[in-house]
Amino acid sequence: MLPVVLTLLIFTLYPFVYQVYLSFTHASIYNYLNPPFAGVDNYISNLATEILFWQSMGVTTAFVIIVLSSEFLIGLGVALLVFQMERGQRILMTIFILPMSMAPVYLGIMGRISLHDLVGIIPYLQRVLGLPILSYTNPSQALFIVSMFDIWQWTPFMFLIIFSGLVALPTETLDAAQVDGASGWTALRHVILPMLKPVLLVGLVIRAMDAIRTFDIPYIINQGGPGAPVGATTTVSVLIYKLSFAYNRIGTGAAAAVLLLILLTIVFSRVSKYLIR
Amino acid sequence: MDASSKRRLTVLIKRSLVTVWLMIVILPVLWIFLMSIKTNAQAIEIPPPWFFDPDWSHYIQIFFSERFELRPSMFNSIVISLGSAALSIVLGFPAAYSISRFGTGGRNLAFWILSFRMLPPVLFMIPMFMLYLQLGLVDTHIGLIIMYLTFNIPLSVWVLKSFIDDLPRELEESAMVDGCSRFGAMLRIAFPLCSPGIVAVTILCFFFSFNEFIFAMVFTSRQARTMTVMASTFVTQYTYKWADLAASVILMVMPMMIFVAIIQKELVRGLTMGAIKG
Repeated sequence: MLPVVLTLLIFTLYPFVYQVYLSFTHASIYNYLNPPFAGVDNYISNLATEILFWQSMGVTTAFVIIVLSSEFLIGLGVALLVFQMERGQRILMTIFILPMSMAPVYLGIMGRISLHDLVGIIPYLQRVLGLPILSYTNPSQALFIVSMFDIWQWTPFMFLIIFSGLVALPTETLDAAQVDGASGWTALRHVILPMLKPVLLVGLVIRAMDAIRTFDIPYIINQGGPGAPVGATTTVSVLIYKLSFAYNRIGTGAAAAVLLLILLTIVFSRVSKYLIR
Repeated sequence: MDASSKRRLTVLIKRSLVTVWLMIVILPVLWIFLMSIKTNAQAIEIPPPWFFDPDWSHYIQIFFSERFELRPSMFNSIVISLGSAALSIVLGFPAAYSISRFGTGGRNLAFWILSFRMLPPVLFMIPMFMLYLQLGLVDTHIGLIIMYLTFNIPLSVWVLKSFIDDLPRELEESAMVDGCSRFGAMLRIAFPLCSPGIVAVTILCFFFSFNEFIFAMVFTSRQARTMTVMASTFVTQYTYKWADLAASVILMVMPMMIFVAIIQKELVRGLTMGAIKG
């Protein structure tokens, strides 16, 4: 027990104190050992003057809403459909979970290839099917494209846990509902969904926490998008990274991180009860 | 329309919906795979050829090329991921055992450990980078191994706890009656009985470390550069060699796909931190 606590303590107490300290300085990579004091400048530029933090939180929130709702609905739908199939469940499972095994970085590279005008499958299908062309250089479409990749990768997660939840349901209850003459939709709304509620909540909480910290895909696909410092796909993680390591404004990045930590602690303390039982 | 043909229609619609999703999952990967066995010239042909003589040379080129540095970075990734996975079992198992059996630390400790998995890595990246600079841990294998413990330990503690919870206490108790110490009971009874869980956690820790990107990008530059970081430089450097780029992606994605297919059964438990038993 002690080693774990010690290890994790090193990773919380020291960084936390240091982070708060940095957020009140004009730290950069050149003066990080003795950074000049900045007062609340960093917080002001995050929250008021440049509103960096709010802008990136807006991007993050939009992203979370898009991916969470799509992944939930598609995952639930596919899980219910596969659950009703008599054969081929195992092989479909194995194929459906493949996207999850891909590191987001490789998915990002795949995304760059797939979207490329000359060689990508997406422009190809758009031409064949006559759909409008998407481009990640267009700010209003960039977030949608990034979400699309996240949905492609993580719908399988929702599918997997909902499917395993369905398999674990007692068959008697399902049969009883059928005997009582409940049609498909009624059984789904009044029997299956209420019984799946704990599983659905765990899935949503985990996906939400992971979506909030999304970094790899927006970073690889278009480095947070056109427009600086907060572009169309600059999630809050990308913002903190860009401020600290690309713009060399470590203090401002640290302030954004402290703000995010406060926000997430509040959110997490509310939702963690679904995970800890 | 009579009842049986109506039923058949519903089944048909359901089947085709599943097929649509199957296509969405498979087509992009298949596309990249086909691209990887075309020549660089065939890769940009419009319309793209679906049938052609496969050209496997890109895989060999990528794997043995000195410029791509696939092998050194693959070696780094393997060393770092194995190291971190092993350490998280060694540190995580006793912690999971004591939380499961004695309720050590109560809900607060559990909450705190879990919060590491949930909070964004960028939150503690800046101060850790400063600390690492001062300790000389930047761009070392051990530095990244320690860094990866931040998400691997919560994983191993929580998933192993859910496995230990399933074990009957009586086995350890009777071992202790027979003169075994508590520690001995943990090591000789609980540890071997948990072996499916330990295998699953090791693979999952390996998996997450192997696929990790943001820490690796910030904390390594040359000596300990992992495969994900190296891959991220491919996109900008090799955009004109489409087939090579595609082959490299397939080459890097394949091992993890196989791994995940192997631990399919434990995946639900691992991905939900033991909250759902699967």
